Amino acid sequence: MARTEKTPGLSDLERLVMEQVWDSQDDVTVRQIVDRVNAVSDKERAYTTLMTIMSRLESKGMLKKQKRPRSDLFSPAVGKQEYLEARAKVEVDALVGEYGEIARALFVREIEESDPQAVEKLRRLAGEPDS
Amino acid sequence: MNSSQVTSPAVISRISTPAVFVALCFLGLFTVAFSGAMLIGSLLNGHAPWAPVEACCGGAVAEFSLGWLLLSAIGLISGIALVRATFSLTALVRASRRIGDLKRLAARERIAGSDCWVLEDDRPLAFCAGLLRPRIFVSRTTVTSLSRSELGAVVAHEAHHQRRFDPFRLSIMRVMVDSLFFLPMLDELSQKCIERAEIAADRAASQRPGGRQALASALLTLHEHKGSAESIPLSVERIDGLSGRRSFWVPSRSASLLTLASLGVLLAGSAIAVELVTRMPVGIEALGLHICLAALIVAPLLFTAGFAWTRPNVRI
Repeated sequence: MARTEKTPGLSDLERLVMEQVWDSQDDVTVRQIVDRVNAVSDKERAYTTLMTIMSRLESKGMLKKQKRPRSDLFSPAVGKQEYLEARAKVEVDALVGEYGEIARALFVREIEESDPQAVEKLRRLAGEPDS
Repeated sequence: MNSSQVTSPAVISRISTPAVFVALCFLGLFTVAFSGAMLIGSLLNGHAPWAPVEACCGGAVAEFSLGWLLLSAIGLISGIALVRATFSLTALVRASRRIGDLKRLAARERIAGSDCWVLEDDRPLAFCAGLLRPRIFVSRTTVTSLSRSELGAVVAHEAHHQRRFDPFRLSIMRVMVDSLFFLPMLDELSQKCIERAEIAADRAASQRPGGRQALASALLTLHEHKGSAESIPLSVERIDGLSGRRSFWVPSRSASLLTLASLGVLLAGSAIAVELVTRMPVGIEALGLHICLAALIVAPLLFTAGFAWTRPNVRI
């Protein structure tokens, strides 16, 4: 699976739902997520809204669903740390690739070659205390 | 590009890179406006090649004269410049929206007295991004691999970019380079302006007690960071800037001459084309009649020619 498919962009509500799923120790039902989201959010969300969001997250590959007779159980398909790392990479790469100047004031830029003479000078500066 | 870098020029120049960039941008914009005005003026005055067709209800053949071909070519270049400006601005807006997404992925932390957005990225990143409200982004790897004083120097460097709105200024510069594509010297100048911004930020970070050594050490640590393919660009000019030396550069002859040629073709070409289209005589008398027009063409060309001929040491 490509990195962008594994780490899709999330809307605010999708992200809020994922936060609740990631914070849960066990698999969760839609009802549990409704309660948790409404507890942390200013706006009251309907059961159907969050069910739609969770189905969308499942189709995006962010959630895994286990069929149960009374209510389906959901668990994260991607860990929070793994998602944040991969997504940050995608966003930084896209930002620099699309319009580097907006973040061009980079202290660290992704250029592989440096002047060996410059590295040597820098080594000397790093060793010298400020005058 | 064969521009050369000099750190101790024989003649100390008062010309700075941003000043040349801005002057050239004005010339480029003036050229586009001038040629556009010539084209529109000719069309509005009924000199369009389709005017005879309309007049004779299709009985006459449109006159695509040399003047019209020339004017159309110049109009096309101006049109391309406008289209490129639109694309560049669209890309800028799209990139600007990405910064919001990036912020949502990051954790806000107070580092060395500045608000920073920490990204869970295994690359040694540190940058300032955002147009109207620039923010400092650093990766967790940068935070964990640097000492306290090194991290302070890195954040001070980025804070300088933030205060100076460097992302905004450099983005506008990029829009100009993209739009005025017929002026190859702009690209060279914009690269030097970026270098200048980096050197200024390095100097600001060096002002802190022990800042220069900490910054040099941070640059070195990040440059040598293992486990990632990325490394920081270290140029001699930047290190010289960190040592307090001023750098100069000499514009490349090819880019200067090409820029001069482009301006000449566009300015003189559009005036000649209008004269051909309107069937006005070309010569000393015509120039006498249109002394203002001639001045508008000659002045920018003289300025550029002087620059291309002398190729002064330009201060980074």
